[in-house]
Amino acid sequence: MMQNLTQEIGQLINDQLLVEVSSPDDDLLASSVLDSLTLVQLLFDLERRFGVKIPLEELEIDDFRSINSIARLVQARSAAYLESAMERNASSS
Amino acid sequence: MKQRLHDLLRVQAERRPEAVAAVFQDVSTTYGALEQMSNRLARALQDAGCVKGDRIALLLTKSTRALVAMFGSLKADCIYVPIDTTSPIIRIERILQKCECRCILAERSTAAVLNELVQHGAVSDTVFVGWMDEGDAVSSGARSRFVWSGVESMPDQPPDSISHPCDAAHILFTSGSTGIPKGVVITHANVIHFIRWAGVYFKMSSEDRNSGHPPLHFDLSTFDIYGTVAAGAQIHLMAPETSLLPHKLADFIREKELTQWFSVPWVLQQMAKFDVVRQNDFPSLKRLLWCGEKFPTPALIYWMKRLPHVTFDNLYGPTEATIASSYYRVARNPEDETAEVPVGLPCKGELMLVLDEQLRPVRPGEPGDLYIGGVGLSPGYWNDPERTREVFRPNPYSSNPSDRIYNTGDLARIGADGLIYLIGRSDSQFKSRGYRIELGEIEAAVHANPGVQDAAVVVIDAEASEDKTICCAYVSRPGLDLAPLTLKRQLTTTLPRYMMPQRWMALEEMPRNGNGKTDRPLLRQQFEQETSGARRRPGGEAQSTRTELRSNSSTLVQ
Repeated sequence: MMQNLTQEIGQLINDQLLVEVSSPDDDLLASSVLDSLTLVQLLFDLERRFGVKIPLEELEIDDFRSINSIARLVQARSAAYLESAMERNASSS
Repeated sequence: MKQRLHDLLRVQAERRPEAVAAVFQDVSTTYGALEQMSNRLARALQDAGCVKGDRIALLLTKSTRALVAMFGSLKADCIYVPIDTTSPIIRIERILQKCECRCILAERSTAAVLNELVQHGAVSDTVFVGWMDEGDAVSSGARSRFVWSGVESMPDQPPDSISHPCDAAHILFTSGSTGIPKGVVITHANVIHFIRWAGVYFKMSSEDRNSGHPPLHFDLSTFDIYGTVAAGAQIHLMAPETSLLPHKLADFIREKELTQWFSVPWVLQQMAKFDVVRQNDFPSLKRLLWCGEKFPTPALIYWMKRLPHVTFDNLYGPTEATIASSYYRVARNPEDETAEVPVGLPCKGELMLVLDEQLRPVRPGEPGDLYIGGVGLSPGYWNDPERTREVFRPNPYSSNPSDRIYNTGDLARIGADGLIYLIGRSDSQFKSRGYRIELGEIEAAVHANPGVQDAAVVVIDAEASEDKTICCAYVSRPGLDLAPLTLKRQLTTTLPRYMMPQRWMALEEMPRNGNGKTDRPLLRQQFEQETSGARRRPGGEAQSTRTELRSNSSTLVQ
C-alpha cells in the first residue's frame, strides 16, 4: 500500500509541479522542488486526491522533505481522519 | 568616505575578533574567523589569476560560507554575482554569459547545477571553479582551480586591496522585460551610504541580533549582511526551508532572540494569516522592517496590535537605488483597514521626485512618475549601456551634468502631509512574494516556443491570498494544438518557478481592442470569471472559457 502511495505522490508532483523526482528518498527541499507557493499547491492536491486534511500549522519541515516522508504524512493523516470520522459516526448513532 | 565594504569587516575583526558575526544552523562564526577565511580566499583567488574588476559567480546556497565568498571576492578587488541556484539552467547560463565571469565559487550541493551548466556549454575554458566546502573537487567537467583545503593553507593576512569605494561591489540580476535578466551594478559606496544612514536611524549596535531571511540574490540581504557587520552585530542566517512554514518563522524569531526582522510583506502576511504571532511575542524584537511591495494594512494592524514594543518601518526602493531610498515609520496602529501607508520621505542623501512626462514636478496630490537620484543610485546595468540610458537620465534639476535620476516605473503622488504615496505602475512590472517580475519576460519565454503563434500574460488578484496570480493566454500555430502542460514543461527550462503562470487559456484567436492591440482587460476579466467558475465546477475550465472568449472577441471586433 505504501509503495502505491509513494508512486501516486511521485506522479502528482510530476503532473502538478512538473518535476520528475528520481527517487522517493530525494531531498525535495535541498533541490528546491518545493517553495512556499508549490508547497501550498501540493497540500491542496494531496487533500483533494487522498481526502485527508493537512493543516499547514501542524506540519514539521521534515514531513515533506521527500516523497517517502509525504507518504508517511498522508498515511498518518488518513488514519487520524478515519478515526475521527468513526468517532463522529459512533456519537451520532 | 573612503571605506569599502570589506573594510567594515576588518574594522570589527580588529576591534572584537571573538565576537560572533554570523550564525547558521547553530554554528557561530566570529568576526576574527570571517576576516581570516575571507583573507585566505582572496589570496587564493588572486593566486588563481583574478584581478581587479573580474566577476565571480557565487553558485552557493545561503550559509556562512557564502558570506566568506562575498568578502573574499571584494578583498581580491573583484565583483561578486550571487546566483539563484534554484533558477532554470538557461537563466543561469544567460547571467554567466552576460557577466563574463572569471570564476565560479561552488559547493557540493550545487555541483549538479554546475555540471548541467557545463553540459550546456555555459562554462567556457577560461572560467575556473573554486570549491568552498571540505573535501576534494567534485567532477563537473569544469576546470577546478582550488579546493577549500588549499584556501585554508593560504596566509590569513589581508591582501593589498586597490579597489575604490566607487568601484562595483556586486551585480544583482532582476527580471528584464525583453526576456533577458538585467544586471544591476551596485558600488561599495552605494551600500555604505545606506547602511550609514540606517545605522543611525535604527540605532543599530553590537548588541543587535539581525535576521538573514531573504536569499542572497535579493537586494534586502545586502542590508542584512553589511548593516550587521557595520554595527558589529550578529546575523542569523535562516535556511530557506524555514520560510515554508509560518509557525517555523515565528519559532526562529523567538529562539534566536532576534532584535531586527527585515522581510517582505508576503511573509509577514502569511504569518498573520496563520496567526502564529502571540500577544507581546518576541520580547527581544525591537524593530520590524519591510521592503519590496505594499504591506496590506489589515496584516499590518495584526502585527502592530500584538507587538506594541516594536517599531514598524516601511522601506521603499528598487534594486537600482540600493536597498531603500525612502522610509516611513508607522507610529500608530492604523485605525481602519483601508488606511494607506505612505513610502514616506527620502533617506539621507537620496532624492525622490514626482514628475510629469516633460519631467516637470507635479502639484501635490497629482499623480506622476517617481524618479530617484542621489547616493544610492546604481551606475547602471552591467554591459547594457542602451538600457541604462533609457532609464537613468540626466537630472534636469542639477547643475552637475553627471547627476542622474532613475525612472522607477512607479506612479506616485505627494500627499498633503508632504509624504510620498505609491499609486501603481506605469508599466507591466509587478511584485509577487517580494520578487520583481516583468510580464514581458514571461511573454518572451512563451513566445520562444515554436508552437506558439501569439501569447499574452496578465495578472489577477489571487482569491485565497493577497498575492497575484499569473495567467497566460496563448494561440497555437495553425495545425498544432499545444496543450498547456506541454507549454508549461518547456517553460520550466527558462523561467524561475516564481514566474510560472498558474492559469492557462488556449485560444483560437487573441482578443483585440479597437486599436488592434491585445485586449488585456478582457483577458483579465475572463481569467477572473474562470477562477470563480473553476471553483464551482472543478475540471471544466479551459474549454468553456475558450468558447466564451471567442464569442466575446468577435463581438469586440465588430
